[in-house]
Amino acid sequence: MNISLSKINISVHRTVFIVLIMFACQTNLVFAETPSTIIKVDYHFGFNLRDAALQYSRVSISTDTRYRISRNWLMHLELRAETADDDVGLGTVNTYSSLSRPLVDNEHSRFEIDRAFVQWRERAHTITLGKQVTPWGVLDGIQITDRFDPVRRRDFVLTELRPERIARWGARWRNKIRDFKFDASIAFDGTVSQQAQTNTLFFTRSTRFTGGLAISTTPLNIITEDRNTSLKQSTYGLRISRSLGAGEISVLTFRGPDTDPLLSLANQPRINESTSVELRYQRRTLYGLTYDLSIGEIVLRGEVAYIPDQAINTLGDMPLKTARAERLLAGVGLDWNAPAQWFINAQLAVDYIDNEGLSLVRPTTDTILTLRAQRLFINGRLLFKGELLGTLNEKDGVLRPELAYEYSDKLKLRSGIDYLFGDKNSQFGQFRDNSRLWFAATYTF
Amino acid sequence: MKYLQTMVIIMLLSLALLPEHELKAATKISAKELAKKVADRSSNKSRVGFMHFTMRNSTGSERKRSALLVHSQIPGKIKIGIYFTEPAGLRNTSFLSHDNIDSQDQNWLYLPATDRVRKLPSSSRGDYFMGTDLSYGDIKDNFKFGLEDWDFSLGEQIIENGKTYYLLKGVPKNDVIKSEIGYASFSAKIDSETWFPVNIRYTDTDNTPLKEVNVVELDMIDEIWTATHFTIDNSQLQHQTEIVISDMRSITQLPPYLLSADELAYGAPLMLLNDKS
Repeated sequence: MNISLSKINISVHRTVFIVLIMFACQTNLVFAETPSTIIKVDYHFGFNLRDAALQYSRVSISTDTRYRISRNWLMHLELRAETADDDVGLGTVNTYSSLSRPLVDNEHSRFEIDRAFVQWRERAHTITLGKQVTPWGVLDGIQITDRFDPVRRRDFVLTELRPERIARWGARWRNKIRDFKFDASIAFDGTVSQQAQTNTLFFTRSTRFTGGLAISTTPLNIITEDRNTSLKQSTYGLRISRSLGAGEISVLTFRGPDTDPLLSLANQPRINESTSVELRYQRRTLYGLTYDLSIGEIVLRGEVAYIPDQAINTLGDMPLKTARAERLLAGVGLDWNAPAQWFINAQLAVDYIDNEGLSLVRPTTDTILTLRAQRLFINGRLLFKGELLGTLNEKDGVLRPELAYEYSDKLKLRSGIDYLFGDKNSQFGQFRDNSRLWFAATYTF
Repeated sequence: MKYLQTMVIIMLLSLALLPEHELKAATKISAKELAKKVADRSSNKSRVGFMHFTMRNSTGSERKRSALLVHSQIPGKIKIGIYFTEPAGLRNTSFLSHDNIDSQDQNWLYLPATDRVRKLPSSSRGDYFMGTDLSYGDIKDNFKFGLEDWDFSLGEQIIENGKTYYLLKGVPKNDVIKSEIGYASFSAKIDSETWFPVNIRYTDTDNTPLKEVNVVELDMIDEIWTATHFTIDNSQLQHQTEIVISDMRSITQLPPYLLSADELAYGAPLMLLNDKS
């Protein structure tokens, strides 16, 4: 790994955290009942389907360590080192708060803390302190109410898991009181969703994401609003759940910076001068409702979210105008254990923005469909998975067939195709030239 | 005549002095009574222990899994929690099922990578359990044959090494049950002392031989007969699953919240193995 010491970016407070974690780990070794570490080595590479050129090649080594200090205390630490020298890149870092940034950040390699928390439990009462996620919502990959955590978008949505959550520093409290379950979370950390770096393969160029600017004809200088660890950039929320019939219902609300950016002009562009665009993350409130229900070999899921103050880019006489609008998201999903041991997952979601008096840069209503069918073969050694994700109103999407073979208990081999289609200015179609054939090997011990 | 009288007295005396279990073995029993004896066999209300799976295919290649199993049975509900501990790629993955008699069965899965406990659709009883040769129904039935599922018949009595075994046979009561459990028939060799099947042969829904279960070791754990080592050979897939159970113990006071969906994310409740109950 090409790690240059001169480029190691460790601020004083991060050093303090690392020392604390290392100290805690050492202390733990003495008292821990069941220390457990999983080490995973992943190698991914892929070729462009058009010209067979190597598109991406990435190695990552991750560790997941859990120490059960006592009956009530648990410590969890996940670390990740990555290196890549390809056209995809490792994603933006300026979207992280200073506290959450990678400990080592070079052009082609990184080392970062994925999770680091201590957890205290007594029966249904749990308090978690540290770098963690708050995974609310019941649908798979479609983010209706599941918008508390920022996510990784450096690979667009072409990841093994969707969404790939980014943990933030904060505190979470969970308890069950009578029939009600309470889950309160606060992240003091201003980290927002990671984007693809400028000019890498999955850097968004569709005008719906650029505030209406045609990036291919307008040279841009992108500045990201400073992300820090403060109350002003914090996200806080509460979820209350209880069982209802054969399912569970939850109501939730949270407030914090939108994890996706709003674009605004940082300067007045002059002739022959690039436009400076600032990515801002405006605070918004989300109110949500989720429900999931088992009916025999089917599970039904539903989510609704209402955001009364969604910050959006609009079209007008000046570029990158902004406004606030009401946003309503709703989605339903179905899991089905189909005959012949097939598993089917289907989801449909609608994302609506009230455009009264506004000229939007995106469609007023997006209708998103996801379909997945999978089956195990050879006594569970071979998995076939076929997935279709798409936007019905824009007729774009991605088709993702995949085979995963468990060669041994430690080694898993995977291969698949990500075939993107649609209009060049649509959500998926903007990346249609990046369709790829990919391979991955994962060794876990 | 005197010789005959002496012989009758000796025979009657021998019968009176026979141990109780041998008396039972010699007693005529109907198929239904035998199936009931098996079904009524004592089982722990709650138990915990490690299950070690070895899965072999026809080329001899092996895969191994270890998991902590927590089983709880209360009237009308069976709860099973399975917490994988090996291999490393599966560690911290956990599965929970609530098998309800008067309401929908419920299943949940916790995958550490997703950070979320996910509700799963109920598996059909005939579906294979996590790549093993056991079906979900086999796991839930726990070496018993549901009296409401099968029509029973009795085969010949077998005496091996001085032990008496009964041959219990069964066919599903109707086609719906047959399709649900995935078997057209079974034939089980029942130990007359423990009422535990030591060998079970199943045929698939087309009545073709499917698999054979052999109990290698049966141990008395907390006064309950428990199969601690058994194999399942699937003749159609040329695949074998060997299961060894270790550290199994019964728990008199299982915390009621433990086998709930919310608890899955917190990992294997290993403290149960150390608790005094």
